[in-house]
Amino acid sequence: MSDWAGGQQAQIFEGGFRPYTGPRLPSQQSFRSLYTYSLGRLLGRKRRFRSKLIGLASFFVAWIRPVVLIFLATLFSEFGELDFDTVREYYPEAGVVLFCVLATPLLLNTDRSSGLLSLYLASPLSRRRYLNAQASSVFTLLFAMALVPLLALGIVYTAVGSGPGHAGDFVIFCLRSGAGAISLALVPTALAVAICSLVRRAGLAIVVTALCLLVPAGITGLLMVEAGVAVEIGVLDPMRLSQSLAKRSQALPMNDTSGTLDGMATWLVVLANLAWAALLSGVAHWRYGRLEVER
Amino acid sequence: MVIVESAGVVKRFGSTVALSGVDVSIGEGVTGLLGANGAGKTTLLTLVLGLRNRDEGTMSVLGVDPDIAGPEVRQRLGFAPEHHHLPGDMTAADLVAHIARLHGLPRVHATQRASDTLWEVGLGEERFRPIGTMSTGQRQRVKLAQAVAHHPELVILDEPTDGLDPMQRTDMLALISRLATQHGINVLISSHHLQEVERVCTSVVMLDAGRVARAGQVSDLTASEAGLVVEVYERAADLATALEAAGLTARAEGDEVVRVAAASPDPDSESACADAVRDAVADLELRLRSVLPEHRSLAEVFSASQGEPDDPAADAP
Repeated sequence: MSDWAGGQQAQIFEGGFRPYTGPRLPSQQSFRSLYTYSLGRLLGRKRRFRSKLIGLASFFVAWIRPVVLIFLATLFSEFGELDFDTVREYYPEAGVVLFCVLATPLLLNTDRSSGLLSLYLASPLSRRRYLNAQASSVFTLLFAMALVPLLALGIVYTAVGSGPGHAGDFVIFCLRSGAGAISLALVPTALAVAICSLVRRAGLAIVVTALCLLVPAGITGLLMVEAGVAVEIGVLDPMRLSQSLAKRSQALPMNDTSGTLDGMATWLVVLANLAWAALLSGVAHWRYGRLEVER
Repeated sequence: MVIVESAGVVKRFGSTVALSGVDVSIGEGVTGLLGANGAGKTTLLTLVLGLRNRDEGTMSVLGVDPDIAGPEVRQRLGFAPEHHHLPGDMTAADLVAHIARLHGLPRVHATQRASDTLWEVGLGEERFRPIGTMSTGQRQRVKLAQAVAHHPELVILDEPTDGLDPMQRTDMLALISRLATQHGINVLISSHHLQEVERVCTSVVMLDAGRVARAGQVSDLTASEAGLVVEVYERAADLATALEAAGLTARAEGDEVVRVAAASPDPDSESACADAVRDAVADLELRLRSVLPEHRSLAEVFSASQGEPDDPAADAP
């Protein structure tokens, strides 16, 4: 026979659907709910394998090189001082492009085609709040993709004696890396979101985003190298602009190589980045403000 | 308590006037929103949800102007759209919990409520199945569950029985009734199925060309303006003759039913009509089965409200 002592305190709580009397968070909470949910969704949480693969592949492409560099640094540090300047301007452009091209349309365009957008807009989310939450989730992951390798490299190189010499230098390196990661993530996020707002189908959005990120780079590069056009033509290439600003954030000497924007004034690069971000986010907000939602 | 109230609401899309002076008052219970395609139902719903701003007039939903405080209004509402598109790779439990969180429920509460609500709508065993593998009937239930999981004060259902077979329709209507009667959730149904609206709704709003054509309690609208339907066990013809002799217009239908028209729609006349029936039944020593007000179907009321004749045969030569 059981002598369970807790029996007298035991209660049976009636389950089932009944009026909800628990806490309710303010309507502004909907932004945070969607933002955190979309972060998980972009990484394939509770999603099909294909969705998981996109996030994993992007981060693999972005982080494989720093992982190898960290491995080599820890392995061969005793053979001589490592050159920190060669790694501190590492930004994972390929991973950023891959993520923008593949993941963003599967977030935004799928919301439209799956009917989720109509449910979102019938919730406390306004169109503006919805778009900001989704863009923020894309931006956050791109920011993390760019920042984490630099910080990891900084920590490892410092640990083996080749990184920033003082705590103050390390903090400055971290701040510069953060600024660089913001620079690298901002315009590609705005571009991908703007294209997804203009194009209904995810497949088409993937193609258009890829073309918009890669084609201007090819054309402007060709014009600068082959036709000798002034380097300022590079303001028409949003991806190269964001790369250039990210690298400038580390304040390393410019190489002034042909085909890069190293010869362009920094203020112009900053201005062009901000202009692109403002223009593209304006397009996205304008489009979402007028989007017909299936009901 | 008035849930939705509007006065002189006008909504234009370019040169098209979708709503031209809508005055409506929707109270507690289940209310049907009826109207032909293009009558303005969807436009009115988007204004109630605060998704569009009206051009003229005033509107309050749960005491708040949706133009001014759209997110706050929507937090207290639930909405199930007409379309059946739902994210195929999400489970029903995930979707319902996610929408409940957007409406302000903390994570743990949202997860628990999602489970309880899916059991309530009959998907308890299916709640962890991807929605893409569900039938249309199950998707309708998922849509209903996500609309009510946060226990809104008003839930708006757009064609909730669309795509369902007769058995599923009956179940869905019973579920909607239960939401109002047992759980105290007010329901606004936009539907084309007049019989279903008549079955489940306590009141209706009929729109025609952007205006409210008729509105009120279903029982009031379907009651004839004046008249009684008398059922006896035999000799209906004798009863009709006696009522005619008493100065009323009466018509026997078969041997058991007599339809009696009151002289006018005022209460005194209807009362006099009922007294005459009572006296005639007593004089003839008939066995009375029932005496009910003359009743019209909601379809007839709707048809009349759209500017069409109640009975097409009445116009025939």
